[in-house]
Amino acid sequence: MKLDVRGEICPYPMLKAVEAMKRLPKGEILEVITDHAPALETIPAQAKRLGFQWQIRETGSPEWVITLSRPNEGAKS
Amino acid sequence: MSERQGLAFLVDAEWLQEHLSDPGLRVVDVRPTLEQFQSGYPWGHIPGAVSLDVRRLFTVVDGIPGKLVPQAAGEAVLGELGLSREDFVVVYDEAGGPLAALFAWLLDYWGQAHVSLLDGGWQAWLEAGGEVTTEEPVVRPTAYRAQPDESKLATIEWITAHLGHPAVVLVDTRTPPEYRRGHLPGAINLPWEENVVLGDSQRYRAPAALRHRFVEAGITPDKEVVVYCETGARSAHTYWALRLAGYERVRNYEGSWAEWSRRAPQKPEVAAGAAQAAVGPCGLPAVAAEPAPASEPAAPPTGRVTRDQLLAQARARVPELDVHEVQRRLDAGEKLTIVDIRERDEWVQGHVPGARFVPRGFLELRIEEIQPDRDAPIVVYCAGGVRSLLGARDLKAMGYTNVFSMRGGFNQWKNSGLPFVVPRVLSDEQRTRYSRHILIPEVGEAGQLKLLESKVLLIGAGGLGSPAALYLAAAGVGTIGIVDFDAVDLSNLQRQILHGHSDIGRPKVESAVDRLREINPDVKVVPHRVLLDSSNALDIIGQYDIVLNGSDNFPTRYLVNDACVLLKKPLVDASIFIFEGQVAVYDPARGGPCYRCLYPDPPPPGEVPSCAEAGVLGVLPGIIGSIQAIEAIKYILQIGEPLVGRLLMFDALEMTFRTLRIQRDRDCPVCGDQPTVMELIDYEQFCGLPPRQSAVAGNGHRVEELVR
Repeated sequence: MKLDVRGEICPYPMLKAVEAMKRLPKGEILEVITDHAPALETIPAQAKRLGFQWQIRETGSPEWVITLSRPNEGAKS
Repeated sequence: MSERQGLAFLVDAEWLQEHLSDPGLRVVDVRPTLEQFQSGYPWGHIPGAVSLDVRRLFTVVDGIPGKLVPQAAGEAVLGELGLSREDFVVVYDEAGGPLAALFAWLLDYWGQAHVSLLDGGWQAWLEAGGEVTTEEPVVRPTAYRAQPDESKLATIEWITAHLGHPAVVLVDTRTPPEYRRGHLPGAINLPWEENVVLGDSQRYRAPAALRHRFVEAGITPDKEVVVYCETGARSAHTYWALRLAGYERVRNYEGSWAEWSRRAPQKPEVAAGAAQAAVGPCGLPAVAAEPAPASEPAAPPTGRVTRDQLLAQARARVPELDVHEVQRRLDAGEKLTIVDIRERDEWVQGHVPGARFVPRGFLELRIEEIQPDRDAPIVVYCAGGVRSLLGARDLKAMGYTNVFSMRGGFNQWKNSGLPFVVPRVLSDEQRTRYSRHILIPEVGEAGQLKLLESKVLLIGAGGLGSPAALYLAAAGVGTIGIVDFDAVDLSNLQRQILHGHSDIGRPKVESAVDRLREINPDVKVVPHRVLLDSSNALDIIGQYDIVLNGSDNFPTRYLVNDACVLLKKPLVDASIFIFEGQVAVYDPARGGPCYRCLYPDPPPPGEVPSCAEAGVLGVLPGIIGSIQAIEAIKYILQIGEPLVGRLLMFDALEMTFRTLRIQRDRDCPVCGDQPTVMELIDYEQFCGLPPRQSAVAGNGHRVEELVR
């Protein structure tokens, strides 16, 4: 599932990503698209707390995709 | 209501359920809406709550995002919600997070009469089984008039004017990587996530735990604290954490790093050693790529250095000592101050004997408490000798002239077979449970460990034993022994608060064990369901450090006194009678009299009525037994003045406490210069015999006459 938080600034990208992770159906992968650099730290910090794995890809300037998944469900992107 | 409620900045879901229809109470839901996950206000909220998109109160000013809208625009938004400045506003977000904190801070700044956060937010409401509705309340718009309190806001101008001021602390509440990439000069990093307990609802940690966290970081309540993050939301969360912890002068920097990094008058500071991280992973923009070794402002610019270059520079300045050399100098009696700068989890695994524990992050902040003499020899060590090089270098920068780093660190020390000690420490749960004790300098963590290691014996689980046992267990006295042979009787319940109605007929020691385990599972409760007599008293009392006597008969009183004297155990003795009570600590091994010095002989049988005959006010043992518990704790902690050589007398009708001086009797048959009682005797027989002298005792009136 995709969560587009481009244009959002702190703390919204993190809060929305947390809520999406909590509601993410089992087996699904969450892709958060953001252009807010601090989110590259705040989202992984919360992902860690919720037991998610993450990968960050730079897709623009500035734009990143953070891929979040539960362990053993693969965060390949 | 809990104590936390009393602080008023925080209400819990149960409280809100009860007060939801209070006049003047307004609830604001600031959760973001996530359509695709059907999450947010439209899919269910607290009944009566209005919804606010907090983004409406912030805007972009001069290219800086997250700046507060002009006051009039903000007032219009609040007016649309039907809020008045006089209302009691409760704010919640998804889970006790930064968004609710931000809006609550804004209301606080704008002079709201009363604003509280719902602790744990929407998640806590759901966990508490709170009612959920999708109905929106009818709102009557108001004209909201803000009255800003500028002492709650930090602006870039205010911060610039106060940079480096000793009474002002800057706190960066972002994640450590964000902090390392660049932060305000002198700011310390305390990530906001550590304000909350782990869990879905993210409730704030207890005020004492929060306070402990801040004080540990060197933020004492006398300081004015400025909190910031990226845009002022996460810092608002810490703003409330500080307020909850009792800090009164806190300012939120709403411009935060988003503003400072664009407008700062001087170059932002980069954490030492973070120069490499400034460019950052993931192609992050280098916000503050200027490396500046913060700890050595006088040093010439070093340019970019690698880790190895940095260590080589430190090694050139700091002499190193081999572990055997440290041991040799200690053996030679040299007064070395040894400082262990590892983290707590490393320290608890073992450390050099006599070392002081100061984690690296606090080294410069605390070294003066540990060793104020700049010329004293100091040996700093860590696990492998790297962190200690940097730590020692920074101590040199503070003017310490005789600083060494221990080569190879603790690992080398241990591998060389040198002696080390494993400290006893409190668990995280214990640090919270006993936080009110730990805050007291006379107790502290060391005192709490003493309590946990202590063993107290209670004679009797009745009127006096009940409150004493409850408080000693709550205080974390590690082992509590209880001697009692009786079963719970209906007539006990008027004062023996250790037992309940459903315990009637059960052995008192059994119901005591259950109740005390419930109060504090840390405590080991040892039941002794025996009639204490000369055959078993020495064995039982010998297992404990201190004895509290709450017995109701003379044979036991004399037996316990004599056994304690023979075993050199302190005895906190007490008795009660209708409206009066008395307490004394008998400890002739360390001075003062024993019970027999005051009352050499028991009264004639039947002369002194017992509580069963004369009655006793139910609350009275609560007071006297609690005083016994305090005396026991004072004794264990070795603080204050024990009631040794003094008899405290309490009169509930007059409501007076009087203290009488009591002296050791050199002719006392048990503790005198030439004792005649060298072993326990038959106390039933002793108390059945007529007295040798005319002195009689046993209740308040006569005792007073006797000892005067």
